[in-house]
Amino acid sequence: MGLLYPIGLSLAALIPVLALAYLVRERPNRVVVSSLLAFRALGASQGRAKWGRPRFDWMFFAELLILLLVALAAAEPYFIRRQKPIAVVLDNSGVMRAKMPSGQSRFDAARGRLFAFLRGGQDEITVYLTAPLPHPLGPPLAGEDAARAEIDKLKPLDAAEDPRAVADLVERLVDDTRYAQVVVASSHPLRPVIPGRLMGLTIGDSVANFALGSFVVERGSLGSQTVRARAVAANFSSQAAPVRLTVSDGAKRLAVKELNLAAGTVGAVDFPDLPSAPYFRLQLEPTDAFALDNVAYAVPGAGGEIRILFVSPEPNDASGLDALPGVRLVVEAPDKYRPEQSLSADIVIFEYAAPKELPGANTLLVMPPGATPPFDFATRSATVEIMSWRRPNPLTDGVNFRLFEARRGEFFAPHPWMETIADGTDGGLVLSGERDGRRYIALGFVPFPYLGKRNLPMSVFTLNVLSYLGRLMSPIESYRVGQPWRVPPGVERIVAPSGATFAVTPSRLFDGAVEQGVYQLLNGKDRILRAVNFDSLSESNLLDPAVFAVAQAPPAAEPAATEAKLKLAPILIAAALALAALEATLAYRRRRPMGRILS
Amino acid sequence: MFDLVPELTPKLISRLDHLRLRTKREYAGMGRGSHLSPRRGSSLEFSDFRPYALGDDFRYIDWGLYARTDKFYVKLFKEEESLLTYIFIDDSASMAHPAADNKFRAALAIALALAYVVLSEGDRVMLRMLSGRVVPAAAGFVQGRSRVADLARALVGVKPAGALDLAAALARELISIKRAGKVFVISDFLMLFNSIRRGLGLFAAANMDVSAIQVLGASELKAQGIIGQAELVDAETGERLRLSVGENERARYRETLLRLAREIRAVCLKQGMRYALYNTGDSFEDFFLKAAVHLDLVH
Repeated sequence: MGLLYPIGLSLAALIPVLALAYLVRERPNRVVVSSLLAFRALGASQGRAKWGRPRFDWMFFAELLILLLVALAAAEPYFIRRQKPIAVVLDNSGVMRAKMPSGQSRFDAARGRLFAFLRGGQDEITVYLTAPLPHPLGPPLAGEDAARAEIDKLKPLDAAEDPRAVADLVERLVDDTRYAQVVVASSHPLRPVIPGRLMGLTIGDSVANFALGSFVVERGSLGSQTVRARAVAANFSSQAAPVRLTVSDGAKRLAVKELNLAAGTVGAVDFPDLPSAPYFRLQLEPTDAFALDNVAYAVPGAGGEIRILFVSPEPNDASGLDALPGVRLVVEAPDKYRPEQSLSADIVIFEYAAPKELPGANTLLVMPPGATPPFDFATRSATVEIMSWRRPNPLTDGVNFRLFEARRGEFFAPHPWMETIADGTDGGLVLSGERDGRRYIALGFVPFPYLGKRNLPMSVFTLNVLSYLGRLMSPIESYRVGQPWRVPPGVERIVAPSGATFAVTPSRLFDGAVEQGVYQLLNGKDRILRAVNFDSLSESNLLDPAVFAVAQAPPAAEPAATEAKLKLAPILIAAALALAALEATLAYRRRRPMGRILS
Repeated sequence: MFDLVPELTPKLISRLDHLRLRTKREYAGMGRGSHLSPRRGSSLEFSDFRPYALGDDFRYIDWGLYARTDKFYVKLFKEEESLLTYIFIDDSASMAHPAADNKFRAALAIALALAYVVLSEGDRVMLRMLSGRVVPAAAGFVQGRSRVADLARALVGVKPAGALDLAAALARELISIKRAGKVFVISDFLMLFNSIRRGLGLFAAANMDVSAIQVLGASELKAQGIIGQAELVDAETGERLRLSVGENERARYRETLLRLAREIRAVCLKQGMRYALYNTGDSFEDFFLKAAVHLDLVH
């Protein structure tokens, strides 16, 4: 508050002006009367002053009060109110969908216990959610009612949470002296509880649970019409139990397998010859209270033929590739390449060229130009000679690099996200890496043209590369719920399993995958499927859930007094306006004929 | 007449027809009338005896007295003459303020009502403006009820103006009066009290039957329109007075006016004069009929 604000000073200076205005306003009215006889008897003295004696009636004081109120409002006064803010961490992960014996979900139970706790009359409540990553729900909420309204709107996600990240959040909140208390409502136990400072509302008891882990499908070989799938299941109970895994294409059952799982163990099941389908759905039985992890989805790579887009200034280098069974080759000059073309290909090969953005398909880069984004290779030309290579590795499997003919090529400096598979005297010659679910391989030499048996070592290596890229040209594993991914080039809309549609921009991160199922990525008439799963066995362990282990902080300092400034300016302005309206009304009713001459 | 002076309604006029003017004393009038005169005359009212003289009418010899005294006396009777009535109207500027009160018109209405009563009895009336201005139609005594309309037409043309010294004005009028009679002075009497007392006292000393009728305005009594800082200008003298007027001052002003009226009334009663106060806010008819008793107007 400061009355020395320029506007406050100006308004305060208006007070004498108001008094002067009243003096001016009170200039006597001339009235002709029949006789001064009786008026003289009033004992009044004849005045000769220019201005009459000021008559500060109620209107003067009302206006003075209005002026003072406005001047005071300009000074922005406030009351200081001590507050008792708390932080609430509400677990909204997929585990909170688990049903309790009463039929109520854990999330609803957590919400009910939170509401009961909030009846304590806290002033300010900051709500944090745990999934997919710990984050605040929004700005602090004023009071119980506002918090209830906001929490009532929440629903649990299908996403798993990161107990370590949640524990970090809780530690940070406990250390934050702004909060008088931190309350954690979750199915995870909280350790340790700090009386009066950190309180845990643990929802749900330990229960047995069968869960699916990863579920991946891949093609056996280049151009294979069948796919093979592998599923992981877990038995989080105190006794061995058989589980049945059923694979379907969403409508028709394709395969069924049973698996005996000992108590607390994880087992894998292979499905070697599944017919091709757009996507696969895996159902685990018996189902239990936590239905989310009893289902998983997977999308295979392309079936039938493999479409290879060959982008090179030397189109003749692609000769021979089309002789491979199940391969359809499209050759394109680098200056005519458009990113959308990668969507209709299973493998994109850039020879002596590099795309300006990550392609939407698995990519092989052959002697790419250096220092161009998004790969930013650092290269050095030299006579290449492979000195060592990584084994075992699908790219080096069955390849004798010592038999490679030495050619001129280029060495790669260490890359930020691609690892070296084979290297020579001056650096890497084969790099491999994954980005946004796609595989990328960079070669420092040219493996083309494909010569078949005439150059067997190089041909084996080329086939390894194409198999590696072609078998898993779709995401190598399903995505996890809540995990953001980059929108592939050309994709304009994404349709969630629930039918919700998102307009998206290519190359931007998409963080709307908060439900489990198969998402459709649409580019005009083209459609890409992408499976998104809960896929978190650690979270699925309801028998022995992970503990939010909060590091025991040193004796925390008393939370600093949190003070809220209740601004009075709006109240003062409102009072001044009301007073002005009242004065205007009364003055209108009591208006007197100014300057009326009784003659 | 009714449209000239709205206060004189037909209903009031009809009631005025039943009133007659009475005097405390007997005044010698002009010509025969209905009021006893100090002169000997032929009325039924006995006046005195005197010894019989040659030529006296035998019918007036009191034979009973002759039997007791063995002398002839004749009975004398009072004469009945018309009464001379003088009505003086204050036409100073103060009678025009406040304009909304129409004090001067009220004074004219009182004067005309009185004149109507006087003329209805066959008496004579003279209306005079205290400023000395002469109204041609009333320059002298008028007689006959039909002359009231002429008086009304002449009087409504008078516009109050100027200052008035009541004592001097009444003294001037007294000099011009040759015969005593009934006198009505109609004014707001907003002047120095001594001037009022001396002026009215002159007529009382001259053996006149004086009635004072004070006319005050309703808004004048309330000091209506005067609030806050005011510069008051005297309508007659032009004198100015600055005042801060609030509700308290207004109440004190009203009390002062009423006290002045009470003092005038006290002086009048003390000197055998009659007094009536008309507030223009009241009904004229009600006032006149009630004040008639105090002004010696009887049925």
